[in-house]
Amino acid sequence: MYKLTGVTKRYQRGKETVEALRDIDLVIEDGDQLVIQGPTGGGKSTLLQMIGGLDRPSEGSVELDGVDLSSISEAKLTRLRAEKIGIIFQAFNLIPTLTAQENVETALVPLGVKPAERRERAAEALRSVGLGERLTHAPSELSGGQQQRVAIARALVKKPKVLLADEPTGNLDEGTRDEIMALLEGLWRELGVTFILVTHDSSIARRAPRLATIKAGRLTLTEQAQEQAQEQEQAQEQEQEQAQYAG
Amino acid sequence: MFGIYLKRELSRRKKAALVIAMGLALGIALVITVTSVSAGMRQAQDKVLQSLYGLGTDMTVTKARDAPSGDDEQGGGQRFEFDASADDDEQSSDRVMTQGGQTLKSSLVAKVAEQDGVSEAVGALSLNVIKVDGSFTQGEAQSDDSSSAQQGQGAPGGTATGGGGTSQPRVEGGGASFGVNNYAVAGVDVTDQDLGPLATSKITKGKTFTASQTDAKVAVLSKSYATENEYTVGETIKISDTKYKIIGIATPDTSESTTDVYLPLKQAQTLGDAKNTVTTIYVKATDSQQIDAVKATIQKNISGTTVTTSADLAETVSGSLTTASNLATSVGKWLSIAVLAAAFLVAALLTSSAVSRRVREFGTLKALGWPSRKVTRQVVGESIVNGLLGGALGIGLGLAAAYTVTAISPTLKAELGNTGGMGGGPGGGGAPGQQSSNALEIALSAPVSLSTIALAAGLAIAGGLIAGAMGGWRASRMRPADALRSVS
Repeated sequence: MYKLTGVTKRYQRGKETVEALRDIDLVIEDGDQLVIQGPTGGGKSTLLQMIGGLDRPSEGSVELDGVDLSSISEAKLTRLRAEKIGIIFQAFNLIPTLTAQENVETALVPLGVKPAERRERAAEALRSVGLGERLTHAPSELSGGQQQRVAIARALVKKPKVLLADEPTGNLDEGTRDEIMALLEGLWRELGVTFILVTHDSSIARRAPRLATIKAGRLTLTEQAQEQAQEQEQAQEQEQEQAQYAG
Repeated sequence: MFGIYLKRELSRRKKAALVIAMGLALGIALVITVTSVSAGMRQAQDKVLQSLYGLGTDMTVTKARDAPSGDDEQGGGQRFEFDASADDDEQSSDRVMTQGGQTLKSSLVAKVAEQDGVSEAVGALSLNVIKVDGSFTQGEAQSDDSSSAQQGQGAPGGTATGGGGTSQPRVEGGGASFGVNNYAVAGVDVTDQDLGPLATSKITKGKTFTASQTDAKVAVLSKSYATENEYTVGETIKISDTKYKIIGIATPDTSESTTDVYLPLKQAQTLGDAKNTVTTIYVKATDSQQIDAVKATIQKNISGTTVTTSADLAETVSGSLTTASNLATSVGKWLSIAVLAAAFLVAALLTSSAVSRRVREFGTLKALGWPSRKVTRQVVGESIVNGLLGGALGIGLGLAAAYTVTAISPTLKAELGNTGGMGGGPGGGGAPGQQSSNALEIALSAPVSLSTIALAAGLAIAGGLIAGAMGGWRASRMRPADALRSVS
């Protein structure tokens, strides 16, 4: 469980101090899905960095399962990221010189997994995202959607407790976007991970059960009605059925 | 993963890797070249000293020649005597004199050998022979009356008056044609030839002296002198009316010999009218580390002598060898350091710049939970491989440069100034009473030792480490948030 208390983040930009996050309180239960939405520069990526242990708040605390990420040592924080947090980036952030399988393996390196097991688990993760035939392909030989699937496999191969996605569909076309979102939501349901997604896409945000809107560093949490969520689900199911009949 | 990642990164960034490697390679190649040329210089200097001293000689004992007095100049020295009465007859005169310093009594050799720290002492006599041969042609005396031409006596080439009356006879024509041949003779102690003038030469034809030939009329000629004067083994050489049978031809270890003719010591003493004397005592110390102490002992116990060690002798060497040696050790050394430092700096900056371009990559790895040390290790590993690549290229370039220097073998001249009482060993062409000097031409080589290769490999690793340390330091300071920030 995540518990953010009074999280404030300030940056020094020249002589000016910029407050990217202001006094944010937030609780995210295990297995929850939270979508963070807001305008560019509003602080959504900064909030994701605090939650992911990539940066520390200027004030306040970020607790994951009772451990305050803002006060533990850098080594412990690094270890925690390696074990518990999977991250998906907007620009995929794959290592261009490594193959798809080797890219997925990089997530297992800090855990000390032996090479043979590492290779096997990476191949399995790639098969689970539909890239079983692309293990030895370099990122440059894959489409944008395929690259993001590799990034998803990399985030999930270590079986994390938390999955963070920073604009995962930001660099993809509409068709691929839906494909990736469907994959992520399916994996979230299947694996039961806590899924925190940053997006500026309203259509994605509308489907989320919990929506955190962040503007000028301030967070507003909206618990979207369960009925609305159910309606949305039903509508989606109908659409899928119609599509199947049509097919 | 480390190896795979390293291999893939280097193969993808071939150009950058090659630029860093080439920079290091140039620096390392220069270090190898300068080091090997310096080693060649030292070898050349050692050869010069060996040729002047003799292999195994640690020092020489000589006696300074007194400054020439006015009486000497007036005619105290030897004179060439020619008979001007004969017409067109070939005449020859040899002038033999000791050279290199005042003579020492032969008994001093044994006294030097008895000194503490002296392993062996051998005496030698250096002579300089000036051979003048040629003929006079008498002039013809002629009077104004061409019909009554008559022979007259006159100085060759000059004019003289003769007869009486009104006719004025004069001498026309006449003259002299003489050639001068100057060569060095060394009297050798035939009972101990491992030390002394012959120690630096190998007998390539015939044989050397036997221990019983202490006073035999036999000679060994240097190869260059024998070739120049067309002497072969079995023939005789005449020096100052004495004939010596040529028993061997000696080829010096260095490119040029300072001695032309070797004779048994007693024969040389007779020839130079220097009975029971030597000009140089060659000394071998029991311990090469105690040379200065032995020198002090000899100087203290045998007064009036000059003891010259190889270190003293080295200081008197001048000429292009010294100039080149100084260049190699001063300019070459600093140039190498400057180029190497520049190469290290360029490698460090390029590596650091490469890290800056890989912010997202390293940030992502950190975000995935890679500890800083793993990221740093990756950067340093890549840099060391670049360094090793540069080292291999540099060693190749350096070896090629050293090989080229050896193949070209530029000739360097070494001049040994015979200052003070320095004997300078047998040979040399100075006239008595003058400051003589020995000049040798040495072919320069550039030997590359294993230690030089090891030094190059060490520098390559050091270059890689320095560059890697800078890049690694930057990578370790990178925060994982940079991976996200770089795209937002």
